[in-house]
Amino acid sequence: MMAFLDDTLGAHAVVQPEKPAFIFKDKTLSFAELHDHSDALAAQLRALGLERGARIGVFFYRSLEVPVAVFGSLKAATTFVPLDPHAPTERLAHIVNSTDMSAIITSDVLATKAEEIIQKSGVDCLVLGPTEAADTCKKTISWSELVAGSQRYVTPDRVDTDLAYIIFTSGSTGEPKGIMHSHRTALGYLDTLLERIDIGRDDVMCALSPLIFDMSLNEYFGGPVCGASVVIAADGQVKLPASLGPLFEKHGVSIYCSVPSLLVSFLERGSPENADLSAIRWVLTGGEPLAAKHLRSALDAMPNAQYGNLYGPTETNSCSVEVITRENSDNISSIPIGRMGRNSRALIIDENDVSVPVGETGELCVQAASVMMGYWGKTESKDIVFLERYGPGGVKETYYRTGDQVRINESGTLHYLGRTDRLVKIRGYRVELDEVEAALNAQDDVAEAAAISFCTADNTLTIGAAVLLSPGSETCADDLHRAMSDVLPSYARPSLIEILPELPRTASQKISRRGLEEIFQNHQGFNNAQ
Amino acid sequence: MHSKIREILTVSAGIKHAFQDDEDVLETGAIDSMSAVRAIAALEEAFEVKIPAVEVTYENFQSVNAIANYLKGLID
Repeated sequence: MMAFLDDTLGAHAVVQPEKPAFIFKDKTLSFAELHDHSDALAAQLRALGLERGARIGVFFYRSLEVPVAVFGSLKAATTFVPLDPHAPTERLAHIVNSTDMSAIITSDVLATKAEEIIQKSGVDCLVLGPTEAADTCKKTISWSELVAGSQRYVTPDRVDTDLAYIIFTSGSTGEPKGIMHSHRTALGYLDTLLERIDIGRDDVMCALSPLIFDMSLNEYFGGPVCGASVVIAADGQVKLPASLGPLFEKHGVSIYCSVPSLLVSFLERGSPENADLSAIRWVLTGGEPLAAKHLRSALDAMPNAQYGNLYGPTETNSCSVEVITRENSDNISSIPIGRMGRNSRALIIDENDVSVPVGETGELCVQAASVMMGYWGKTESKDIVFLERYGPGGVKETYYRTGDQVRINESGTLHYLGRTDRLVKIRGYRVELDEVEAALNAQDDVAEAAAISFCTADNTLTIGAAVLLSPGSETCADDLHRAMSDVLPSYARPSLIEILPELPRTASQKISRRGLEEIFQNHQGFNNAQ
Repeated sequence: MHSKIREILTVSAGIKHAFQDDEDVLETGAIDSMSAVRAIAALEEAFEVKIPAVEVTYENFQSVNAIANYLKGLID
């Protein structure tokens, strides 16, 4: 049993030293290099006096430095915090300040921005990595010096509940929330993943998500732990999905993993038929529901693949997995979120926190080895998101409240029905916005759809939907309104359907609800719902 | 050609940004997937070409220089 995320890296570096651990553009980083460079970096971090648990910012565009910084931080017993190079400096300064960050590891192109962030944060924080310090009064250690050491490195004393990383997500209030994970919770998640999805030394994974999005940990942790190679996709390849087919073909990618929106972009606009995708064994999505029709087109485009639906908010990591084979995909109308991993348990409760019977809808609460340690600096929110129960033998069990509405069947398979907070009341009726989205997504003419609620000028709550049409479709909003009247009750139909050439996306390529609100806000006579 | 491409990128991006000829316009965040769609349509109109979907790749559109090279090949 592994205790730390970096436990197996040394062994892989001995058994397969020359094999690429990471590939980016035309450059590779072998397992030996990843191991040696991260050892050297860890030794430097220790020599600089960074103590166990110190927070280290990892501030890069996609590159081969990212995995070295991640494993260097882990081996130094520090806690890494991914920083988004596309985020505004104020937001990043807030993260640096609230975590009292000790150092930011970065590159030449981001050195100036790193200095600005630190200045705004008011924290005494080192900048490591750039060739020269942007602020000439400060000293820095260049990347080549950071990773140059060749002395044998011994990791300091640590325990598996030490924080490995903190991921900041944009909370609904706008203030970023730092989700804390330890080596143990991260390994708990890999255990759940690997229980259902076999990943081995012959595999080639593709990192499509950026490090700031926890889905990328499938590759950044999964690759080095399992000894598989990881191809890091460039931002431009992710934004222009016709680049992906040739990338997968060139490197023989065998494991595809992304949010559903990116998979759909690739299938609908990325000409997957032009590339040889026969090496792909697994198509994995998570973070949002995938429409059943897209599952079928994915398995058509990748004929040797099985599909895995990874479920779990960042707070729990992926804690539930559903596997669907090609043979089973035909009769599915909606994709379940699957069964909980071994050693984890689901509790489904109603509005009064009382367990509901099997088959009935309620909020999913999760007890699993992969559940976060809590939110950084927010002890008071602990009670709201965790639920305590006395299990068999009077043992106290802690469950994380996901805010997701689910149903469980007799065989233990969970079905996702929507967000508790995406449940709106329209003219007194309860409407699941996710159900509205699903109804639009089920239309052949629709590639992707998103629904939000907003207030009209006369202050009534109504539903707006944005739609990206399938290639070649010439349908109009009126046709879609008519189609919705066939499948949804009148109160649940969108009053406004906007056909767009592309939907607004977040950094992780999910549909941006805030971006949608802005679009609907621009409509005369409508005010944004607060 | 380069200045026209820069102009189209600036209008499509909808933000003030001085595009350098060899800058990776998709990496720095100046162009996201929505503005990329707008930029492709504007390039088609400005240069009177049809850009096949399969050629809308990172390789062809990563920088002002790359776009110019690609369009030259398309026009010839």
